[in-house]
Amino acid sequence: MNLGAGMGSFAVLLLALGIAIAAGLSLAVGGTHVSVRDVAWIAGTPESSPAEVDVYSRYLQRHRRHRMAGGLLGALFAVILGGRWYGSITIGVGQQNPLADVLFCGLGGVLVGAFSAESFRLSEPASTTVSASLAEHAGASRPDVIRAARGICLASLVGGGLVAATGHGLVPLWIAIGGLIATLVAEATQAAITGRRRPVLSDRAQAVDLRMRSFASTSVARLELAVAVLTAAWTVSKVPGAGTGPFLLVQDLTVIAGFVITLVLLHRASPRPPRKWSSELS
Amino acid sequence: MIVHLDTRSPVPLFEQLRAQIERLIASGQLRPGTKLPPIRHLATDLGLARATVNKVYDALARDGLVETAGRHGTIVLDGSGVTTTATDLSAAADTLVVIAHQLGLDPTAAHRALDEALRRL
Repeated sequence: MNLGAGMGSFAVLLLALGIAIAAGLSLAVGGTHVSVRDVAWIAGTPESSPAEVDVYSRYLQRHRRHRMAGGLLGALFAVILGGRWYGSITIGVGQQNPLADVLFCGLGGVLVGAFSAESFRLSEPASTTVSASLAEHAGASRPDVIRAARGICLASLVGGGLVAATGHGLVPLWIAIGGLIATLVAEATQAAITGRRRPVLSDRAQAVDLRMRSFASTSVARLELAVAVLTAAWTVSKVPGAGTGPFLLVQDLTVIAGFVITLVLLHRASPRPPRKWSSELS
Repeated sequence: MIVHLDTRSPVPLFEQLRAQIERLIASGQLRPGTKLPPIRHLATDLGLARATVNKVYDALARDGLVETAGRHGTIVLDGSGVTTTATDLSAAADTLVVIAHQLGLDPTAAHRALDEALRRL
């Protein structure tokens, strides 16, 4: 979806400024507000102690703030780059480059934001004794989704490589490499989630920690799959020599399906409970 | 299965960790076939350098208490041959008595300190 072809520098600047102001306002006016329902969703129970509610609230707020800031910065990057250098801004797969795609860059920004949100160190209680459990750390919550993302990312790379090897241009390969970088950010975030220091203060503290890790791991796995699918759609869209006939149809269908799947995954990866979710259901 | 390290103790952290894992294996609390956490995870949890935990796992492997199975991690072996449990406890009790005596504390105070330490675990 091309939003504006042949935009002038002033229009780009105006649009970028508009996005920056909207971002600042949404961050300031409660886009990251955490409600009782949100806490019940991440805790898996409506009954949490005030201390637990505080921990969940701060964690969710941090995730939302970092992801929103990352996503908006990514979108801003795409708007400026698309408007200034490619002459058009795209949402989803388009004629230009993924770097001018608000969805691709926004998704990349959300991933970097999630990585930033997970890059914290659990403060150690003031004590001369340090404790740790010898039980294994819980692994990623959705290994199947992560495997699928890796597979799609690899397929994009192989496809891009084949196109380059057969002398049909390097664009698909470069797109696949861009997707690989985003996937690596997601993998680093997963490693940060599963490898972070665990509290051993009490069973409740461990349960809260496990809930937060499970939420983050599932969410990041879906983001990873979303970026892999969008990369694959972009890669397929740039395979040249489609001409007409069945290949063109497959190419178009793949691009549309990739776009829809990306939006669904992005929505499901959101750090918010689904609209129909109620604490009685959990 | 929790390990506790005292950063003020004159006993090196490496030795504290090694001795505790050895005791857990010898007492059967860590059963043969149990996987120990990866070096980087245990080092992060304890706030130690990876090299320290690596050294502990190497020492345990040399003593035949664990084996490193490549990407499958570090696996606990049969530790029934290790007989340090009783002597360790006795030595620790002796140390407590000596310290209490040197501080001029009566047996009740020593018992109270022991009870508090047990509660803290």
